[in-house]
Amino acid sequence: MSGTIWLIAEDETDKTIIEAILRAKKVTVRVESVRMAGKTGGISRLAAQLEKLIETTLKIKKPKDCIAVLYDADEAKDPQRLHQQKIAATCQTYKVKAILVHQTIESWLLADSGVCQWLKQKLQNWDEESDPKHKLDSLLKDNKKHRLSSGGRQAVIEHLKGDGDAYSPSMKVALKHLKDAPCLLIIGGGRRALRRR
Amino acid sequence: MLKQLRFKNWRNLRDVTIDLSPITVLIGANSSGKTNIFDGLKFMRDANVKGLEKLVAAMGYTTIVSNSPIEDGVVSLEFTFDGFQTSGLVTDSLHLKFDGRNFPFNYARGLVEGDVIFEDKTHFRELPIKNGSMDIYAGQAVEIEQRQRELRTTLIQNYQRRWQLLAENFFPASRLSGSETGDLYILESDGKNMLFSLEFMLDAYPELFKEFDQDARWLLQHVKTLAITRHPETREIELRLYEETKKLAPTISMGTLRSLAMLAAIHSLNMPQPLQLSYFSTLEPNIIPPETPGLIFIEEPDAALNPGVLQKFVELLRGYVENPDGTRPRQIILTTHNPTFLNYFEPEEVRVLQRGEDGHTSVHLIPDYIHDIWLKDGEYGLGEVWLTNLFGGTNP
Repeated sequence: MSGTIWLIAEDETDKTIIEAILRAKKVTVRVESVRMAGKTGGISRLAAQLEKLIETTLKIKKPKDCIAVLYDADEAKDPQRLHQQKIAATCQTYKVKAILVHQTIESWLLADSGVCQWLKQKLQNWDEESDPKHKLDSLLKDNKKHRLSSGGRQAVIEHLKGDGDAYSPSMKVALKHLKDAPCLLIIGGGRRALRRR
Repeated sequence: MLKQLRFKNWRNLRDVTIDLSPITVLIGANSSGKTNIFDGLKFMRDANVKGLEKLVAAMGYTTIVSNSPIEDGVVSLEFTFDGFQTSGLVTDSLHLKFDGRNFPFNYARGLVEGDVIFEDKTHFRELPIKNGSMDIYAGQAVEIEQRQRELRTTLIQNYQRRWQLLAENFFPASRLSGSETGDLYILESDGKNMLFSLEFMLDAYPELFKEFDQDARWLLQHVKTLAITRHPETREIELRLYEETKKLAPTISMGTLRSLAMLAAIHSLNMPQPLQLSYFSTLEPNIIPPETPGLIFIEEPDAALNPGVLQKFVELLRGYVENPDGTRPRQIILTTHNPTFLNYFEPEEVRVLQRGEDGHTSVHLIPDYIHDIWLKDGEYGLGEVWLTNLFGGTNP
C-alpha cells in the first residue's frame, strides 16, 4: 500500500503500535501521527477537536493518503458514550467510514504470538478483556519486571510478529479496512458500537 | 535590517532560503538545522572579525559542510539586508569551494546592491591569500569603489559589532576572576563575558544600565536589587542579587543568569561602540551609534525559564523590536522547542524547519488555514496547535 496513513489518535503511543503491526505484517506504509492540540490524551479532547483535526489533515493529505481515527472504547472514561457519539457524528459529517475495534489497542498486542510467547501466555482473544492495557502492564511486571510506562512498550513492540488478527476479531476487521485503504478511515468504537452496527 | 538568509550546502541546509521578520522564531524537530542557521550567522560574523582563513583552519572542514557529498562543491552563505540609504537591497555572500578536505581551498565574496555587482561571487580565489590581506575584489572604478567601501564598512559594523549571538548552552558566570577578560559590547556565544559588559555599562553609561536594571527586575520579580561589584584586591567581579532590602539571594539560578544575559545582550547594543576599522587603513576609527540596527539571535531562550515569565519576556522583546521612537532598530531571531513559549508569537513570525527523507532541511511558513481553522476564535494557542503535527516542525 502506498501513501501515508494520517493517524488521529488519543495517545501518541498508538501510532507506534500501528506502525509496528504494519511493519511486522510487511505492509509498507508511512504513518504520520496527528496529535491533539494542547495536552495529549482524553476522549473528550479528541471529540472536541476531531473536526478541526480532520479539516486540517484534509488540507495536507495527498490523494493516495488516508486518515484514520483511533480511540479507545473505554466505558469507564465515557460511560454515557457522549464523546463517542460526537466522534461518530463528526465522522458522519465528513462522510468518514468507521472501523470499530474492541476496547484499547493493547488487546491486539496481547493476541500476538510473539508477545504471548515472550510473556509466556496462551494465545487467545483478549478483545473481551475489560482493561487490556492494565492486563499487559501486569504481565510485563510479573514476567519481565518491566512497566509499560518505562520502556516496556518498546520491548513489547520488539517482540511483535503482527499476527494478532488471528485471535483478535477487532484487529482483523481493522486490518481488513486498512488493506482496503479508503480515502478516509476511522478505527475506533467498542463492543457496544460494534453490536449496534 | 537583515531581510533574508540563504544557505547552500551548509551542513544539512542543502538549499534553504529564510525570509526574516522583525521577530523570527525558528521551530523544528531535533536535528532539523536550527543550530546550523545560528552557526551560519556566527560563521559570517567571525569570518569578518577573525578572517576567513583562520576561521576555516580553526573549525575544520567537517564542521563547515555536511557529511554528505556536495553536489556542485560550493558551500554558500548569502545574507540580504535593507536600509542602506538606497532603495536597493544589499546582498553579502561568502562561497567556499573545496577540492578535497583540506587547505588550500577557494573562496569568493559577493557584494551586490540592487542590480550593481561590486564583488563577483563567481570570482573564486585561493586561500591562503597570497597577495596581502585585502579581502576585497579589486579593480573597480573610483566611484564604485567608494560605494563598495561604504557598503563593506556598514556590513562589517553590522557583522562585527551588532550581532549578539547566544548559543543554546549559554550560561554566564555569576563571578569572574580578575584575570579574565572579554569584549565589553558583544557577548560571547556562551554569555561568559556578561559581567564585563554589565560592569562597563554601569560605569560608562549608568542611564543605560538603569534601563537594563528596570527590565531585569520587571522580568524577575524576585530580584529587588541587582549589584555588580569588583573586589578591590582580587579584582574579581561578582553579581549580587538582593531579594529584599539587604537580603542577599543565597544562590543565583541558571534561569536568572540566562535571563540577565539575554537582557544584557539586548541592552549592550544601546552603548555607543568604538570600532577601529583596520580592514580599511585609510578610515578613521568609527563610533557605532545605538541607532545602528542590531540583531539578537538567541537559541532556546526559554530554557530554564519558568513558564510564568515567558509572556513577560516576549512582551519585553516586542518592546525592543517595535522601537516607537525609531532610535534603536532591533531584530530578533529565536529558536524554541517550547509550545508554551510559541503561544505568545504570531504565525507569520514563525519559520518551520522540516527535515526531508533525504536528510536535508526545508523551511516553510505556517499555512493560513492553521489560522482559519484553529486560531481565529482564540480557543487554541499557536504552540498548542504545533503539537498536532499538522504544520510540521515536530519530532516524528
